[in-house]
Amino acid sequence: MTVKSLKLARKGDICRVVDVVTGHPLSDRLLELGVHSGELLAVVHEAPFSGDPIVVDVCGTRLALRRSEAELIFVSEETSSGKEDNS
Amino acid sequence: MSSEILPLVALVGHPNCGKTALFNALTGLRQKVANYPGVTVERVESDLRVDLGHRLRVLDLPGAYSLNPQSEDERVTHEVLTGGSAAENRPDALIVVLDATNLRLHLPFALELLQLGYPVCVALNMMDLAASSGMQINVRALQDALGCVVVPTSATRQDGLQSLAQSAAESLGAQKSGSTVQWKPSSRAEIIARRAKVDEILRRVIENPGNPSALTAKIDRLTLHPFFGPLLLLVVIVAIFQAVFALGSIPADAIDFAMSAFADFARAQLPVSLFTSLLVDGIIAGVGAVLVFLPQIVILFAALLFLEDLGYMARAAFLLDRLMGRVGLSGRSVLPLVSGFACAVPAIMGSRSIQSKPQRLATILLTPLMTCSARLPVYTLLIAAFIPDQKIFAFVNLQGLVLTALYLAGALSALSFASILKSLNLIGSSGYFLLELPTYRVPSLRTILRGLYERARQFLVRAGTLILSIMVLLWAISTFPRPPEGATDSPIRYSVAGKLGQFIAPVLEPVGFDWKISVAMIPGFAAREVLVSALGTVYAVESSDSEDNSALADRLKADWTLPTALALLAWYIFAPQCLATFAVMQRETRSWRLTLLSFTVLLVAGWLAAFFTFRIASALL
Repeated sequence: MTVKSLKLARKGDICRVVDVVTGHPLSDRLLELGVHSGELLAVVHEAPFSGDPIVVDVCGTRLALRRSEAELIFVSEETSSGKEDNS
Repeated sequence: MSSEILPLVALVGHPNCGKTALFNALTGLRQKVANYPGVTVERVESDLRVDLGHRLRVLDLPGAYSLNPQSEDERVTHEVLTGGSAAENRPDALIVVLDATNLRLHLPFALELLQLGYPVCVALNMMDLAASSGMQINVRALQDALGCVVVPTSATRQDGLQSLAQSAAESLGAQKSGSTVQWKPSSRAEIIARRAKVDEILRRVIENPGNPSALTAKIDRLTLHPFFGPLLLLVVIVAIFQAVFALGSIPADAIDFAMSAFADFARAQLPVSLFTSLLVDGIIAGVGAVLVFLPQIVILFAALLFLEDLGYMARAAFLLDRLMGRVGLSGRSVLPLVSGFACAVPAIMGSRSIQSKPQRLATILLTPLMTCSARLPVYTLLIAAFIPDQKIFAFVNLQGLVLTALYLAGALSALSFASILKSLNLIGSSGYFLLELPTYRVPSLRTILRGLYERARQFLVRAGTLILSIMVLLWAISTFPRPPEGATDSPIRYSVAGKLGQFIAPVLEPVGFDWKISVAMIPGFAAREVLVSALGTVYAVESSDSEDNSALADRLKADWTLPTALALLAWYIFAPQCLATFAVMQRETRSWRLTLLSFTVLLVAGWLAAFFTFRIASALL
C-alpha cells in the first residue's frame, strides 16, 4: 500500500483517507466536512485548464479544494479508474 | 422573560441545509434586518407565521459547519450561541436544521449543539428529496438517539411547519435555557468521537440509504466539464451583463422620463422661486437619481439570488478560482465585477456573496474601475466632437477603437490595482479555498422575492437617503449665492460651486482643463453623465432636446484642443465622479476611511492619467 498526498491525485482516482495533517487552520474543518481516516474519497472533477482546484466526493459530500489544501490529506490508492461514485 | 419580550427561537445549521428557506416558510413577511455589531453579517429576525395561539420570534443564524469558527458568518453564530454576545441576544431555544439527504455530514454539528444545553428540537429538512431518492429514515430511532424531538420538514413543500413550530414552542417550557453552560472548543479527538457516534446512530436510523446525490452528480458532469463548464459559465455571465445593461435600462429610462416629466410639470405649475428650484432641481432630481438605480439592482440580485439558491454559485467559484486567485480575488468576485460594466452601485452591493472579507473589500474597491454605462454619454460626446469618424486599416473605425481602448484601460487598471493590493498584502494571501458544492435544488421563489425586497429596501433606506442629501447639497452650492443684477455670465459661475471650480482650476490647468471644465466638474460629482449637462450650463448652450448634444459638441470643438479632450477622456477612466458609488461603498463596507481612500486614489489616478495623456498628446500632435 503506497501512501501519497491527495495533492497528486488525478480525476477518476478513488482512494482511502489515511491521515489528515494536524496543526493547520483547516485540519479540524476537513474533519468536520467528513474527511476522516478510513473514508473512501473520489476525485470527481478537476478545474478546467490548470487542473486546480479539484472536487472530491467524500461519502456523498462534494468538496472543492485547491491542491495546496489537498496537501493536508494523505491517501492510499484504491483504484485509479473505477466507478466515479462511492456513495 | 418579560411579557414584553417574546421568546426567541434560533434556527441553526450548516450553510446548505435549507435553513433560510425554512425560516422564510416559518415566518411572516415582516423581517427585522440589522447588522451584527462590527461586522457585515446580517441579523435576520421575524415573527412566527404559524398560528400557535401565542407569538414567538425566530432568528435565522448564519450558516455554520461547527462552533469552531472559520468565517465571519460562523464567528457570529459562535458568539450568539456560546455567550460571547449580550445575554438578551441569546436565543431561548434552538431549532437545529439538518439536511436529511446528508445526515452523516450534518449530524455531528447537531451533537455539538446539543451539548450547549439549550432546549432543542430538530428539523429534519429536505425530507421530500430524501424520499424521492429512495432514502428511508427511521425518525423515531433518530429521536431516541438524540434525545430531543425530531420533526420531518420540507421548506419547499411547506411540510411539517406546524408541528415544528409546536415542538419549538413546547421545548421552551420544558428545559432551562443553556446560558450557563461553558463552551470549550472541541479537540480533534472529540470531533472524531462525534463522527463515530454519528455512524453508530445512522446504523440504526438509515433503513435505506438511497442515492440522493445522483442527479447532482449528473448535472455536475456538464457544469464542471473541462470544456462545456467554462462555456456555460461564460453564457451565464454574458446573459446577466446583458440583462443588467440592456433590460435594466428600459425601466431606468422610464423612471428618468417620468421624473423629468414630473419636474417639468412642477416647474410649470409653480411660480419661479427658490423653493421651486429646490423642489425641482434638488429634490425631484435627487429622488430620480436614487430610483434610477433600482431596476439594475433588482435584476442583478434576482440573478445572483437565483444562482445561489440553485447551487450554481459555488460551481462558478470553483471554475473561476484559479483565474481570480491569481490577482488575489475570489471566483465569486467575477459576477459583481462584470456587472460593474453596467453600473457600480448594484455591483458593489452584489459583492455581498463573497464570503472572505478581504476579497470582498478588494472587489468593492476595484468595481469603480469597470467602465459603467454612465460614462458612455461623456465618452460619446467627446468622441463625436473630437475623434474623426474615419477608418484605419480599411476596416477599423477610429471612434470605435478609442471607445474600446477606454473600456480596456479600465479593466486593465483594475487588474493592476488588484496586483498592487495583493503585493502590498492588503488582500492578504488569496486565502483558503475549501467549499462544499451543495446539492442542486429548485430555487424558492419566496426566498428570492424576499431577498430582492430586502436589498431594494436597504438601498433606498441606507444609500438612498445619503444620495438624496448630497444631491440637495450639490444643488445648494450650485445655486448660492445667486448672480448679481445684470450679470451676463452663466449663473453657476457666481455660486459656491463656481467659486470652488475656479479655486481648483490651477490644479487642473497642468492637465489641460480650463476653469470652465473645472466648474462643470463640481456638479459632475453627482453622477458622471451630469458633466454633459453641466458643460451645457457653463457654456450656456441652450438645448431643448437632451438627446441631441450637437450644439454643445460644436461649441466644445471650437473651445478645446484635441489634447484637452483626450485628457478628459483619460480622466474619466478613473474619475470618482459618482456619489452614489461612494454612498453605497460606505454603506457596504461601513468604513468612511476606506471610502475616502478609494475616492482619493481614483482622483489621483485620474489626474495622473489626464496629465500624461495631455502632455504626450501635446508633444505629439
